[in-house]
Amino acid sequence: MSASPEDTKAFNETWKEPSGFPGGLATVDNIRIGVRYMATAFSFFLIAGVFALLMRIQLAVPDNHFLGPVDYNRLFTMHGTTMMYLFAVPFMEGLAAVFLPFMLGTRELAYPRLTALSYWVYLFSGLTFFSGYLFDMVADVGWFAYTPLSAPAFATSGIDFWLVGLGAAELAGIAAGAELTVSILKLRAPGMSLAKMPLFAWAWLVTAVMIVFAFTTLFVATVLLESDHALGTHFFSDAKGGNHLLWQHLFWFFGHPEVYIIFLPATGIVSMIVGTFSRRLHGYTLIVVGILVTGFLSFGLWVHHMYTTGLPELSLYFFASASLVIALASGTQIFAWLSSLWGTQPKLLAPLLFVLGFMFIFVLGGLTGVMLAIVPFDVQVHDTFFLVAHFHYVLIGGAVFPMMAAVHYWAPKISGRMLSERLGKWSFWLTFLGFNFTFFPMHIMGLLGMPRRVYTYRADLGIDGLNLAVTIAAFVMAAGFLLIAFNVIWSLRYGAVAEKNPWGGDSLEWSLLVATQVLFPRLPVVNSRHPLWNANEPQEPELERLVETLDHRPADWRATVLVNAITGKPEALVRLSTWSYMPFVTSIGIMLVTIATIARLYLLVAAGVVVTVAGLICWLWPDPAETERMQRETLPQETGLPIFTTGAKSLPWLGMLFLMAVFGWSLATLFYSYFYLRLYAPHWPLDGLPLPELLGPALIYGSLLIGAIAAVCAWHRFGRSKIRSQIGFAASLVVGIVFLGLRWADAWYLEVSPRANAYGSIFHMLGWAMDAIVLTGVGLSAAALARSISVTQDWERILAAQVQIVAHYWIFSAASAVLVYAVLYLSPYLI
Amino acid sequence: MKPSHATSASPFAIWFGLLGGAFAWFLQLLLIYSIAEFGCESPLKDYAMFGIGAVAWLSLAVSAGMFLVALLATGVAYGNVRKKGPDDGSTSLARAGYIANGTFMIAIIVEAVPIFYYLNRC
Repeated sequence: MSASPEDTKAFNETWKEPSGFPGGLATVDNIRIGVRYMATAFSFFLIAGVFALLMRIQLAVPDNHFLGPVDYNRLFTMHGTTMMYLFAVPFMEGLAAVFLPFMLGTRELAYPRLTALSYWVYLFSGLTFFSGYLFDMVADVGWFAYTPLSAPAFATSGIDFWLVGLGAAELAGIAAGAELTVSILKLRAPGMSLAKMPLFAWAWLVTAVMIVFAFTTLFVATVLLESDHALGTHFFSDAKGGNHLLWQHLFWFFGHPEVYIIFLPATGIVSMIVGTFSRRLHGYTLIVVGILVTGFLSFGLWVHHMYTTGLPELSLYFFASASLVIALASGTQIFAWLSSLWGTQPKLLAPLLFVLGFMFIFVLGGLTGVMLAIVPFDVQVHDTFFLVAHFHYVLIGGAVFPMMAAVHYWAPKISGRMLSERLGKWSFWLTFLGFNFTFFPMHIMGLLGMPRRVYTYRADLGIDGLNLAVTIAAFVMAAGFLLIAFNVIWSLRYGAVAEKNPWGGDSLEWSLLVATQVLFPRLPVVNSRHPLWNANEPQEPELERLVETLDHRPADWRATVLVNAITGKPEALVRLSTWSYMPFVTSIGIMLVTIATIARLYLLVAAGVVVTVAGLICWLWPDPAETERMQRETLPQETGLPIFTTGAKSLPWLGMLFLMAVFGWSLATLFYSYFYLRLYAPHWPLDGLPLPELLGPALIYGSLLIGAIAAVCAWHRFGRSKIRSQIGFAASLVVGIVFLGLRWADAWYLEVSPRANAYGSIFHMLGWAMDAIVLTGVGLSAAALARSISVTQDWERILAAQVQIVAHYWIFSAASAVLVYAVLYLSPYLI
Repeated sequence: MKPSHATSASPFAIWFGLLGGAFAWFLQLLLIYSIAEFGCESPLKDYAMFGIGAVAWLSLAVSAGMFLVALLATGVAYGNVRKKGPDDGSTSLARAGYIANGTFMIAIIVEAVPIFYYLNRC
């Protein structure tokens, strides 16, 4: 039985996205946004590639004056920063946004408007970052911006564009990470358990969680450094009790996982392509474990970038050991792929060629990684071209080659046309040979003592021939990448029309003809790791009946099935948001904040905050007509799946969980910073300041416990007495406002200002972080109160998730307050 | 259809069986790093018992504790495999847990080895 024509028509109308220029600003379609992500990221890649070529021209001959040291410093900074922040991760995120819903058998990502916001913020942050060129204020501190070089005492004004531009890009990344995690765990085809999930989704599940924690750490670090610049704090100035090494700790706690955030999605791509071309995939479980282990271990390696900084010797060897263990996890995956390909005589078409190129290059990069994990060797080659060679082998081999494989493999699914195989092979050989002749000699140059980040070298060092060869090879590699871009553009018009499944793939994206407007009007049922190869296996009749009932339904509001994270059994029908201009408006507000921060126009910062908050309110306020349609919906009776849900069955609650995780991790990062500064301070508090008073702040911070109790009471009373619930919301709202007033009054009369010394800086920063947490709680309580007043019928069902969110959030706020109080006020008495 | 939550083991047991070793390893690394970094800069480095410094004792104790947590996670994963229930993917995750926890137990041991070279110094 198929859907009725009326349902089909209404369904298509409901999922229709606006077209044209203004419509393009409002679309939330994952495919359009994902393609934009990839196109924008590739544009940044080309720009950063040109920067690399300019540097190679400079280094082609000794004592060259094509570029001066200032331009060279700016170029390597912009090249590295662009590649790491604006190309590699966003390109992978775009790929995920397009293909994860396809592969998971769902209709959209979990938070479509968040996807749109994430893209706009990413685009604007990239433009802000590059706009430094308009004012001749370009960062020149390298992609990791070490303090004290990037601190106020030494940095040029370009550092503001670097910090603020990238801070916004990190927000975009965190949003994407939360979005993808929830989508993968909860929005899958009925029957698709975790153990049946495609490996691309597994790789992205681990990566997305890593993004949330790694990017949050960097975000906090950039806030601290920017506040040193803009507000005059002293987190990184040693003269005022700060510590320049703190930046390296925070940066590399992000920076090392960042490498794997780029690499892990690439392993997902490789697993999918190897599986398709060899018609089998060995070691599914081993690969999953490899991904998990790599993801975790990557957070425990940050000190291996800091061997030469004078840390206690013992601690270095902990990280050296962990660095060696990670080779096990990566090696497991390589062996699984080789074993899968062994003896299958796969066709050496362009996607597989790029995958084989990846394996060759990445294994070499991995081996030099093992060498660099060994402390004495790392100390010897630190900051030489050996390191440049190593990380390009890991990042270009480990990520860019799989990306190019993905472009050749999946382009037909987006455009409906095949890329030229001949051009694909030419581009592979150009990039592969060009890459190896560019970067392999750099190992030797590094061992011979050529330092990185020095704009020229003397003729008598004996490295001029190698440098010239490297420059020529770099141009060959660039020609290869340009040929790929040409191939993509050419194929849009002249490429052969693609079949539904041109490679014979096993995953669900190949069950649809091309990227259509609505994915899966009839949801698929999955009972195998290879749903297309095992399509004839018997399905669970109960799930079959469910997807039949849901065929082109619900027709007048957007929804899909939410499943149990582990088993893949359907648990609820969840609403997905429709197109809206508000993500674009909100991103404009965020950009106003960033640009005004760089310009130090603080009134404009306030205006940006107002636009952002207004955009968010309009975005999140539910459409009453849509709520009414959901109330009328008969599918809960027909399928047994609820619509209005709470807890882990509710997308808003899951989103709130991530917000709390981000706030919580930010606090943890600040606590670490506090104790790190404390460790190296001769006295604490600094400069002979008295120990903090205990009683007054205890009452202020303790007041949040009352707010939490009020919100929890509102939650428990909910369903029995609306008015009592409203009193609970109002009480938590008032407590939050009182807390903010009292805390600011207390901070005003403190003997130490944020500008006095590092103690004052971290003390006030933790207070501001607490303010941000409470302010969010106040907003949530106000929204719950307003909604409970505006909804008159069926409010027990409609508002259940919102009430639960408010209660859980206030519990989180109170717990945060206890911890902040313990660190700021109690710990100075104890240690 | 009825909403289903049925898994052969509890969700906590499934996640702990899969990721318990990973969290144990992460905690071990953070704690022994903190003990080394903070302990070696504080008076703690001057304390010793049976000729072994306090920093080493603490690091070894933390490593042993976290190894036991990882072992416990492996035990939970073993229990999940043995539970009879529908084929809902939890058994595969439990088997993955064996390998993951085993790898992290190796990592915990490997990271504890340097402590023996620094029993009296930092």
